[in-house]
Amino acid sequence: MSAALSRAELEALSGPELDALERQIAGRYMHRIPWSAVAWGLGNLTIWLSLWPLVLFDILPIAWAFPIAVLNVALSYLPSHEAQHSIIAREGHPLRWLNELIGHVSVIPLGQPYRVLKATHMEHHAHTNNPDLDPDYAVHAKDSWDFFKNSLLRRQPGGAAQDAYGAALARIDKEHLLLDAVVYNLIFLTVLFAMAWTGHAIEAALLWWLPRHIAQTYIQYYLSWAPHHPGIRQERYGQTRGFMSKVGNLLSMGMQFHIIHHLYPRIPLSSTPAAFRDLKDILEIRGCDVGDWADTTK
Amino acid sequence: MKAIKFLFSPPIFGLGFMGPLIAELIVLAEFNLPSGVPLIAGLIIGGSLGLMAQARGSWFWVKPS
Repeated sequence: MSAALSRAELEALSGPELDALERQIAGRYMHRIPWSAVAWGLGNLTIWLSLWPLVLFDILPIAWAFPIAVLNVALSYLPSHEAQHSIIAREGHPLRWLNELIGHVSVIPLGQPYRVLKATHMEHHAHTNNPDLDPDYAVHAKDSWDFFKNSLLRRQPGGAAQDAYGAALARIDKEHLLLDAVVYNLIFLTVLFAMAWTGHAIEAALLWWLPRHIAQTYIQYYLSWAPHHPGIRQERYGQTRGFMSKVGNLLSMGMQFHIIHHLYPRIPLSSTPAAFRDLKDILEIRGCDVGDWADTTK
Repeated sequence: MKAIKFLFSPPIFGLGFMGPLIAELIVLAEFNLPSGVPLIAGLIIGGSLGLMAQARGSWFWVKPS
């Protein structure tokens, strides 16, 4: 029930009244520093970096380090995502440096530059599900199997994985950020090649190269495909959907409640489940597809 | 721009990373080949895969649409 009002009472409200109530409820979850995301970003990076000496000095078997590395790389994006939306600290806030630090360093395992991710992600929010303007539009697929096939093929040398991001940066006059991507790719390849030619190719493959591929697929599935599927509505309340993940909220990276993120991007990830529960009735009245959550009372 | 594209091209990746990786896997599989042969085999396989990926636009048999 939203704001202690019954569904019937909510439906009786005028448009502006419902709008004001929705914003008031959402406001309760904003303006909080998500310290958990800060700890997550820094801790995850520290663990991933520590795997390298632990493996190279034979302290930790590579067979154990590999699944940890996969987890680290898969978990590296979301803290940066909080920073992309200035959730940790807005411009002018004394902790703005921390926001930018987390944004930059947490995605190091993913080998992708914060500034490119931020600029293209803002375009995704501005043009969600627009076939021409949403840089993430190519992720759409008719089902999970089709997604996995496309995800693999789009990353091939002749695939279109990077084209949409480059085009989006050109549209917003931020083509210079492509230099960040070139530098990151150069560093990634230099590390892989150096490790490979000093007799540590398997370690490099299992600590970074393969985890990065697995994590990219996993992140795209839960952050892009699942919450935006089928990707045919572009209006504010239709861009995303609620869904109940078979693997739960943690393993689906909190994306079951991605509706909240698109409506109120300043709400921290950790607060989106609670915000969703409080706003669910209003979202249904607004025409949101809340998926299997429609049958739940809370 | 051409230099950057060349650096990021599949043949470079095939020789720079896949080659030594395949060589290490050959050694790990205990084929007992003479010293140096695994690396040569790795470079041939990795380089060929890279050339194929460059020509077909894909590291797999399936081409991106």
